[in-house]
Amino acid sequence: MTERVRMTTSVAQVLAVLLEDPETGRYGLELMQATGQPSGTLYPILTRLQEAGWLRADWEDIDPSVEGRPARRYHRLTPEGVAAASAELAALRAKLRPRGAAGATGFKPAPGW
Amino acid sequence: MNGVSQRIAARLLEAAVRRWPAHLREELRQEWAGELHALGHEAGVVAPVRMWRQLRFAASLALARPPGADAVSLPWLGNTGWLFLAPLLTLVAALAALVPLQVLPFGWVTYTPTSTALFVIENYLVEVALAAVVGTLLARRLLRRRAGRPVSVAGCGWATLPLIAGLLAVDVLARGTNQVWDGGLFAIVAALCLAALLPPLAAGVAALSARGRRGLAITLAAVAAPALTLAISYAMVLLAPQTPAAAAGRPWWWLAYLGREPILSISYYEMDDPLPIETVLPVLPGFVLTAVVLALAHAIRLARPLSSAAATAPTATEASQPSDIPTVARDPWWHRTALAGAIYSVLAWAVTLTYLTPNIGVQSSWPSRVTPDGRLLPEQPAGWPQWTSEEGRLWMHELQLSAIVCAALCLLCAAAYRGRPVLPTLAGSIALLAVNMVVVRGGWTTPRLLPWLAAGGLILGIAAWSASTRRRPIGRPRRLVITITVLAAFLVPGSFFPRVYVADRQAPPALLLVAVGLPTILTILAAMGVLATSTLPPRRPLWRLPATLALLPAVGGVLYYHDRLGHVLTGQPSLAILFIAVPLGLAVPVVVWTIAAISGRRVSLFLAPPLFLAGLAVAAGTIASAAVLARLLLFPMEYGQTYDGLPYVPGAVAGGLLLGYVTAVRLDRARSPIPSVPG
Repeated sequence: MTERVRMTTSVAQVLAVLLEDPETGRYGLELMQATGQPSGTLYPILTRLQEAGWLRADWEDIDPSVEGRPARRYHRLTPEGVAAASAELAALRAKLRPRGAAGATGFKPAPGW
Repeated sequence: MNGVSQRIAARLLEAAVRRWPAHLREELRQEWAGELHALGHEAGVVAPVRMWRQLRFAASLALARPPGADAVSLPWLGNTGWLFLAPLLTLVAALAALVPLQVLPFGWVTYTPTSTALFVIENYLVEVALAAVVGTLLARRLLRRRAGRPVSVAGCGWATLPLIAGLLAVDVLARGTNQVWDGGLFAIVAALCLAALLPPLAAGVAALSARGRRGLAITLAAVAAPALTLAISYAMVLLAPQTPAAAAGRPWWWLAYLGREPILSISYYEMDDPLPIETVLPVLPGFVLTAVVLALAHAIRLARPLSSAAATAPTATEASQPSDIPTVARDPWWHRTALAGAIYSVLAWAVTLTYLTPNIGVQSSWPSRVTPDGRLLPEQPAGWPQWTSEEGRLWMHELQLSAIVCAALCLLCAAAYRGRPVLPTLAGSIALLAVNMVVVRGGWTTPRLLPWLAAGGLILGIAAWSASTRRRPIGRPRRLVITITVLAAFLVPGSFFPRVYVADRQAPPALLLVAVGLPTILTILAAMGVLATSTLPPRRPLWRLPATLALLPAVGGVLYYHDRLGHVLTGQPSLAILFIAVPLGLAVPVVVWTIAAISGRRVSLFLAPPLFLAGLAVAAGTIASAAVLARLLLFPMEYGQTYDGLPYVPGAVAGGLLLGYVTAVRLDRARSPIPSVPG
């Protein structure tokens, strides 16, 4: 069961990066570099997506003492998240499409007042 | 150094983690520690860059708002104006409060060092209190407009920049009234210091406020504001040339000068060039302290979490938006354009009253032109070479009235596009007209009043706009917009009638900005009104029609007032009469085309000649009604006696209003909704 997420430009950027390859998990720094967002913007978005059921996070399976570094946390979209994010991004693209493109359908805007 | 930066980053992360929901903290702490470790061991990156990235990573998280608090960024386009005007509002409030406080003790208090120090402290406390109150009130207004969500901490930092610019503008205005430009570097140094130090301070205070630690935030602001003021004053002292006091080896001499003149900017009236640092120091701390307190009050209020009731309550704008406003007019740029026109008109009014009036036609010469036994006195030379009071005596009166009407129409249109009531705007317009009459009757048309009248007019407009948000929405916005559209269209051609006063002299740029600028704004207003009320689908892009039509009065008006035209027409009386008659005769054709555009009909070009002749007849009636209105009402109120001039604007406003109202009633009654047609 997924909840609706308020769609902002920042959220759309994160979703677009995650949708490039939904099976591949991405850690925080990687997403920061891919979206150009600072940590203070990215992590609240990841948490919101996770609490809405669109995202799941898994810890890297390593032994920190052997590797010499802490384990990373990888984020990837859930199947429900893939469907919801694809739909939201498609709707956003349609909304942002130039107004002239609507002419192809023959639709005319309603007159004012 | 590396160890220090890592400790700072770790502290920042710890502070960030504490703000997140408890069930998430442990995992986030581990995740961020891992990322911080990765940033500290990036291959191929030099140590200072790694440190910087670690600190930025941690600081960004420490300043961010965790999910659930649902912060929004500050909406710059809509609110920068408010922030920019905040210092002006504080200035007016400070003047109102401090001038009586300084005048009261006269006569019964002996000025000793102790009593002077007490007065200074008292004045500063009043100033700080006013800045805090104005700052928080404005912040409340911003909050209500943004659906009850607090602003992000970073947004609070950015919000300080318009405040600093506003204070700098106040400083420039105050200097301009007394032409005190030497020493302007000090104000720039102060503004640059503020721009560097105030945003992070405001962000820090906002972070505390956002976490619910408002007492600590206020304490920090109370300590930081005087400290920052002292630091900036000292920076100015260091940059100033060597003074006798400094040369005498007294390093703290400058402290004795601070705060002697706490009233903002009014002290510039006493200044002369050149301006040494000893003269600047008593004045500038007032600016700096006010800016700091205003900014910090904003930050504390903007970032404070709201109660759940406030967060879920609809905003005033949402609640008051009637449903029958068309889609094109719902665009925020629609009412913002109208508001920009109102601002321009108010500034044009202030310029006309305080700068053009004494330079073109001394308006106080009005009652002195006629002797008690009814004889006309000879014309007097005006401020500008070759101009006499004869040109300006009527023209300035018309321009002042035009600017007030234009500002009122712009504000009314903006209110209609947002579904707001019109009563506050009408009250504001009447207040502006009353101020105009008082200034003229008192003989105070002097450039010294320019900044005060401009700022006061803008504040009056803001108050009217603000008051309209608290009332119930209007019922028939379309009818109101049609009335204004027709009235604006009717006023545009006649605005060029005063060409007759210029003869073969070139109109100066300041005069052109008013005489051509106002009809240009009215044209834009009328074109926007046609787009919003027309029964035909609007052609896109929507800006094209207003921008194209605005070129006609803007470019044509400048050419029309050119002195070469006067030379050409001098020897040809018949051509000259036609040229003067064109603006008057065009009013009716323009109105007919406007009404046709609103109702979706076409007007044949063959109708232009009869419409033009009808326009001339209507113009005669307009001038007659204007003469009646002006001689019975406006002139006696403004000058204390009637006069022999033949005005145009009062009659045009009355006629256009009547025409617009009748048109609006008929079109609104005959309107039949046209559904959107696919295919």
